[in-house]
Amino acid sequence: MNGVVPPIGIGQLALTVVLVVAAGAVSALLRLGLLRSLLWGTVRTVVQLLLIGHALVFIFSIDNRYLVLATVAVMTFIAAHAARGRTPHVPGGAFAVTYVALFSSTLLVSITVCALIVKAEPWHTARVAIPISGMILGNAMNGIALSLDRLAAETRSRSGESETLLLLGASPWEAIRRSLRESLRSGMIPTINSLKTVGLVSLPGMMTGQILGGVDPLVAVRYQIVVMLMLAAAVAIGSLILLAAYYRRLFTEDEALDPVFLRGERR
Amino acid sequence: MMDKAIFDVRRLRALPGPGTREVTLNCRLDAGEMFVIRGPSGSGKTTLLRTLARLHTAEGGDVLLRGESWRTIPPRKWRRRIAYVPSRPRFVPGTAERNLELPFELRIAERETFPKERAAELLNAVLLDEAILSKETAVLSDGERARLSLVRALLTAPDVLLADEPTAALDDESARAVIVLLASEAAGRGLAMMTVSHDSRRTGGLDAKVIDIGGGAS
Repeated sequence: MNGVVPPIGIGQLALTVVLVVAAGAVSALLRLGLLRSLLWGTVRTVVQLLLIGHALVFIFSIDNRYLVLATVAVMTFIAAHAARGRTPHVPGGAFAVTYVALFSSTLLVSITVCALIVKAEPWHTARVAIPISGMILGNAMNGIALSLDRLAAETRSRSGESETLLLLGASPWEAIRRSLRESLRSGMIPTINSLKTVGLVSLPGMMTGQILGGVDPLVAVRYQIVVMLMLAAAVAIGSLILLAAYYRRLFTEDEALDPVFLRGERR
Repeated sequence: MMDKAIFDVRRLRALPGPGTREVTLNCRLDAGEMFVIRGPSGSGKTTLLRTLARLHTAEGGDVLLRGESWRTIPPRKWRRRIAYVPSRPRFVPGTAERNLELPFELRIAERETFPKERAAELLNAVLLDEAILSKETAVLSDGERARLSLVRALLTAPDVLLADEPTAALDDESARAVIVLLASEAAGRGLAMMTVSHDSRRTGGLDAKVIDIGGGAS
């Protein structure tokens, strides 16, 4: 790096709070009722990020491969939990599948990136592996939540068609193939859209950070390309793993659509 | 060789829905034989057919196809041999032809080819013009849809046909044609058949045994 990131002091941090207060004042003035959630959000941002900052300092200083793995595992747990919260159409019991899909896609893509593309030395360097895994997780989580929820909704709305196929001798996979395709599509769409608009509408956060830190934009751009492509790969792989591991649960042992699922009850 | 029944339903029990009363069925069908399950609406007739097609999970009992229990036959294979035609036929988006070919595009039919001549024969028998093939299923009338789905089911040459009110949506002429076809499938190919009806008059012309499930346990 050929530049140094200017540190932000406590006074400067406090100054940004003024901006939030201004936003809060507008909200209060117009009676939007957002004041409380805005304040709560601000407090959470400050507290969560400060805590994470300290945790990262600690983890980076130890820089042990098992600690890195454990950290990613915990992050995945939180991400899987959040993904489940965003899938109201999905019956219970999908947490384990979500976790496995997130964890394996994240591990696969981040190891590839760390070891082969960024070529960190060693490849499990915490300073590289954790932020990369975090970025992947965040995106894979969105993709997986979208496809899982869509799968449940599509399967319900196309149940008549799927049942017809089952009656003709279709396998469960064949019977809901259209729903599977749709759900994979909807999981991938945000990622594909971001591939198309990146750099035109806004500069991605990571690239912005690097540029602010004094990195040559051409270097930052290359990093961003890697990031974008690895995110797309992770979302695709994660959604595929999820769908393949999950779809059979929408069926009974006799390969019929599960009536409990179709009625929309949580098991 | 003692047991010649094609389809043997032994003390089958099914629950139409949560909190409903159980329906039971006990019957044996030989090749070419027909049964009509009769009972008022809501008595669980459709549930019984759905259970026999394994779309609905049975509470108990056993069903044997040529002496083989359904527990030992994979569901896909079972549904290929026991064809269930629901009272409200459903299709995948596309033309009638695409829907007739559908059963032959599945993995289970890898070694089968679409029997084009037989399809023409069956369409003819139920008074459907071949021009219907190029039409989208969405524009077909209820009667045409009912007959098309019956033709689709018969194309796969099942051992047993489970038909839910097969003539309910039809005018008298096409209903007669369907009955004639089913009778000849039974006589000629040994197709065993179970239909459901709340009105036994509509099975006129079919030499069928009647099972009443009206009042409950029978």
